[in-house]
Amino acid sequence: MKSAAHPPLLSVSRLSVHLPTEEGWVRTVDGVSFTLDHGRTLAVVGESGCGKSMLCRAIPRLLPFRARTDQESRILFEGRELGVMKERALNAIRGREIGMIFQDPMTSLNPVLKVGIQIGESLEHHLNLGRRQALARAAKLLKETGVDSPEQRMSHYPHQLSGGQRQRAAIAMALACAPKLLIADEPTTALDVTVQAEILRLLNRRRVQGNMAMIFVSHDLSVAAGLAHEIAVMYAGKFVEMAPAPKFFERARHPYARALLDSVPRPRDPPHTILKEIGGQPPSPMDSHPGCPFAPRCPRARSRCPEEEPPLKSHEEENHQYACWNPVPRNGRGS
Amino acid sequence: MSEATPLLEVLDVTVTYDAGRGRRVHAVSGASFRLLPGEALGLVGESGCGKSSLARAVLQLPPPDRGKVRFAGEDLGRLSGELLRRLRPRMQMIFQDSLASLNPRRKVGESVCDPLAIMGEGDRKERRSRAKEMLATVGLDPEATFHRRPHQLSGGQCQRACIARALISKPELLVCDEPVSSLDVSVQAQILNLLERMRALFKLSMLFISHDLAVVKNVSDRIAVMYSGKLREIAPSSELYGKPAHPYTALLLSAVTSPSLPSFFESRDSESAGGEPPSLFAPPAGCPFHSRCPGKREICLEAEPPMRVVEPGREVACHFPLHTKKTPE
Repeated sequence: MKSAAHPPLLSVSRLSVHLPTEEGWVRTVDGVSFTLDHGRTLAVVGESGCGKSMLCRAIPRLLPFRARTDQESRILFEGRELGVMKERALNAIRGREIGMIFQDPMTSLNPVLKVGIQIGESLEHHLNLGRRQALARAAKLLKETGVDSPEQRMSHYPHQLSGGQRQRAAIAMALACAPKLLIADEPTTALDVTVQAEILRLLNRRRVQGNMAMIFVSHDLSVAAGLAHEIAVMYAGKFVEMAPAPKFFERARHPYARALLDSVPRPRDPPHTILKEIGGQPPSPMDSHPGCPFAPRCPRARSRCPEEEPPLKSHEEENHQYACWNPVPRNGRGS
Repeated sequence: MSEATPLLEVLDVTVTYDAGRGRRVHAVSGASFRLLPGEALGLVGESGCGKSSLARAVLQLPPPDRGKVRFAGEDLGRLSGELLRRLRPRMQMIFQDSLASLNPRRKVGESVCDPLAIMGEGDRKERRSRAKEMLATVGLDPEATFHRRPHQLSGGQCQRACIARALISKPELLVCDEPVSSLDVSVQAQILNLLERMRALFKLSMLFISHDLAVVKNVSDRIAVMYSGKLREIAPSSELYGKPAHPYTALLLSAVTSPSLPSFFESRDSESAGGEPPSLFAPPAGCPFHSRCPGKREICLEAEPPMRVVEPGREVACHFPLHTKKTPE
């Protein structure tokens, strides 16, 4: 990840996001730091409610109206601090330099605008193209994303497309201005496996062609495995382990990361194999404990764990970080 | 196949829906399969292929347009309403959206009691105690959960409650329609393990629908692959994964991602058979998969291949099946 020659494309440090609820302020993202270079993919993996989506929205500053970020949170995009930028300047970056795709294209596409117009819109706005030029470019983009008969699709409304076609249209829109960073929040969760595979190939191809960096959020480890250079596991708003993908799948050290890997059915196992379960429930963001957030569910917890929070840091290898007092042994599987 | 009498026999079932303007959608066309007592059959396919329609037709919800469903020797289509109602406790179903399948205004425990009340079993007190027993069996705290409303439970707890409600009438057949698709991986593992325990405990036969092939393999003894309303292949799970016979099965398997399989960006940037399933309004001539099939030949555009046995226990609907012995008997 790190290279001495030039600064990273994106550098996030100590990012915390607070949301107001009826019962008071809740910290949904808690001190997350990472850097991302051009052309690299970071997969953020975690279960619902762990803060993945809020992290995605915090980067281009698209948080809900009343959400707050901490004073010390820094989001540096090509050296520019997004946190202090004026809305107008941010709008020039959103959609132009940072593209976004969401899980449900039905809610991220405008239902009363034709698909072609929607894709062309960002070209008109950001690249100052005329309507006709923008539409021609939009058709080309649709074609590149693998939409069949793109010319006809241009004049369709989102509801007239299938789920896969809609997501392709949303991708065409996100990639229209060739962004330097693409943030994809569960882009294939609602899709069939065959369509998912095609969308992942498409994203990867575009990443390579445009040297685009990608933050790919998913609850599905196997999807992340196929796509990412680096994996970050998120639990209760924190990154608890971060490592290059091959290393992660070979020897994840955090007990939660290991348990996630072990709880997924593997295609190679025979039928009726009993899966490894993670006991208990994820913590509610309401309650705050001094120690490790995973301690109450952790089979490897020791007396220190509920008392003192382990920091996320490198141990034996510089690019493999984890936050645990009693990590899974290097060669061990599971607990 | 073994000599055992099947619990469920589905013969040439066709389901169509009225799509307005005189058009009909063929959701399921001529599906046939059997399910032995205690067996788990997985049903896989892309969304819109007719999986759920087929499962519902099995339970007569609604009855199929054509074809026969025999359950424990009874032809369900010929039974009167009252007789069918008496058979219902023996075949139950759970769904993907467990929250939506519980009445939001009633206590979870009352919903679990309902099947017993409908069957007219026991008095109120007895039903309550059996419901609590069942809640405990599926891993819920019986006293606390009984008095909760569905929205007070987590997704995993809701699905457990639905399983309790389905099993309280001691069914022989449990139809599961994507029961873990909306759950997180850790909860998914809990529910899959619970279903596995319940299958053994109640000696259940299961029809298990999912779009996730790894999940289906974990649950099923045999797997049926469906495409465009038609069954295309039925095979024992391990064999289906090892050597798919239908090109569509192979396509589905190639799309499976797994930490144990190679990455997309390393080795598999080859373009797959793209495209989408054909229209269900006007099914094309020939094999429904021909538009996406990499190995299609002329006959595939003209004649639709029927399901045929290519090996003992394996059926496939393809003119040129992959990976099977050359001369099928």
